Amino acid sequence: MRTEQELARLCTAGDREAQGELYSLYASRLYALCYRYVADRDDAQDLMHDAMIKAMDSFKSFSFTGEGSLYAWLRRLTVNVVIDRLRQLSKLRLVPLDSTIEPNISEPEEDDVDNIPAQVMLDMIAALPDVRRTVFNMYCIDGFSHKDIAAAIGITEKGSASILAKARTQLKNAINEYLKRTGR
Amino acid sequence: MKQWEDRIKDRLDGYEMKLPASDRDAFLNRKATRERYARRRKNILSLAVGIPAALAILCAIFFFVYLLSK
Repeated sequence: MRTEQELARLCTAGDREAQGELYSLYASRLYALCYRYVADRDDAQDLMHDAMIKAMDSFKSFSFTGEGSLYAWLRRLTVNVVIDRLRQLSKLRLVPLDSTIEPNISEPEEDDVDNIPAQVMLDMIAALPDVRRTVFNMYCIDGFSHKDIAAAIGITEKGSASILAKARTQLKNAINEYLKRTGR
Repeated sequence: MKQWEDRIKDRLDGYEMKLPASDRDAFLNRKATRERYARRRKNILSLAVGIPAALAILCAIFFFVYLLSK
């Protein structure tokens, strides 16, 4: 198997075989990432394809900075593709804040989280409303700052923090309910 | 970030989901369609620039010949 650097070099040169290898290596990871944002398998597949095509077309903008930098670049590019699509579909319009959510829900234990299958956790995140899901994913999993999020989806930094708090509460609720239901 | 969120991040960052059957065919079809579209667009652009440019050159030649014949 090729190293990341070699793979990137060949993809930059437009090598079809290397592009196939790139797809085999990263498609299922990027598919899960897209699903985390759009909560629909067909849309996630479409977006993953768009992101892969965009990556293959814009490899010249990638610079290798060490192991893992290729996936980091692909992830960033995919998140941008997803955010653009969500914006086009006007799915990032703010909804009125939900006042029915209980503010003080206990924090789940780390072990509790470890006991939840990853796919179930992914579905819990997918079940969040569009804006909350987007902010939670960007901030907590993909490492964007509130400043980046605010610029990407057209809200204020304070708004981003407030939406994140709501997403956290809703997710904690879903985790606690799941643990209660499964008796863990 | 809180600890339970760190765990979620650890579990989901890089998590792989099984791709639908025939995903690769769907991808290759889509890529081929994009490439065809891009080629056609490039051809149309070349024609859109090339034809007026050729006409302009011809007009300039005719005008030059006309000026010489006077």
